[in-house]
Amino acid sequence: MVEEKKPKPLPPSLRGRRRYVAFQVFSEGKFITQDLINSIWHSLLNLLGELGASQADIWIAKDIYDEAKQIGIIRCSHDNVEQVRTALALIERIGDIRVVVKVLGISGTIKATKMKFFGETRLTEFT
Amino acid sequence: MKFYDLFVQSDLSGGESSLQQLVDFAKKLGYSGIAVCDNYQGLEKLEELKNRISELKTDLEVYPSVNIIPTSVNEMKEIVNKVREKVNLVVVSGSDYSVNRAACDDSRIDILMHPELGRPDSGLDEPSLEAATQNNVAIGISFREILFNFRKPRAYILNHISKNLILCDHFRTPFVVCSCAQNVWGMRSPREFVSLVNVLGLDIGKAFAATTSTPQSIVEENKKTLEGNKVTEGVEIE
Repeated sequence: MVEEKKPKPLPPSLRGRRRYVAFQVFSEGKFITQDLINSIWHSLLNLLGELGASQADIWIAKDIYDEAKQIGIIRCSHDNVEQVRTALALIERIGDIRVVVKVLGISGTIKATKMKFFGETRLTEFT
Repeated sequence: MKFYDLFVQSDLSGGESSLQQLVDFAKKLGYSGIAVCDNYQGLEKLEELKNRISELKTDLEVYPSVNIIPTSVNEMKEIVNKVREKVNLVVVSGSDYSVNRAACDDSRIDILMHPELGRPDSGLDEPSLEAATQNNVAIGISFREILFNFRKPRAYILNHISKNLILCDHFRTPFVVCSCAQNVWGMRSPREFVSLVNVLGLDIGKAFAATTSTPQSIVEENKKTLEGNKVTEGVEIE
């Protein structure tokens, strides 16, 4: 199977500055990850519009979302962090289930976000 | 940093959540204190609220408050006369311009909540804001109005609130952001309210004041007055 060629990664000076927003969902019932992602996009598009959402450079980390603890990470551009926080606050329900989305904090890398807000530890701390 | 939500309603005002549930959830979200602001339904209901607050098991600061929804200016003044010395906070639900203006003129009122509600304009003008600044009446932003409206109505509400925020900043009128939640699902973390104010046009420092220093100064001043330690503006007994 031939692997699809991807563009070469940009040098750090040309990459957009990103922030990783850690969040936790409090809900009155269970929901599936895809419904959460749809609700987040719905809220972002309603608040920011298509243009604003495009400029916010949003990526919702589906693989990192923990369904049991209901914690996850959203990546956005550094200029739009407050708008993303506001959009998350405006999520009232996922399907029929009432929810409150709380932002746990912001970090510059996924690794730092997981360590600071999800309680993950470095393996080197055990040596 | 201490965060406060100065307008939360319990099941005494038709809300869904009990006081204990509201208090436990507020603690989870990071608040240092909340004001339980049930609608005025007579002095007996007010005493019931105060008794229920005193029975709570929590280290969160919980202040009994009253929300007045007046149909006229005289009704508003009558109710304020009855309740001012019995509660920590007196909130007036704005909307009608004459009520908004009368609330701004009355130094016994702590917060004028959502002056823009149901109006084609922001509900406030220069004389109202100057009076509010002079009488230390804070303008309240209701998160519930934003949360439960969508598309065009939400766009109008955000527009009016944004105008009021910029005017409050210009006239140095204090303002607070409250969830106006009627159950735990209407509450939000205070840092999200800071983001909302920032997104609507104010810088982060002033946005923080809306959930920290401004509500804290309101509750502390009223606490001193109710305990008899504050005689009048600038005169305190130690």
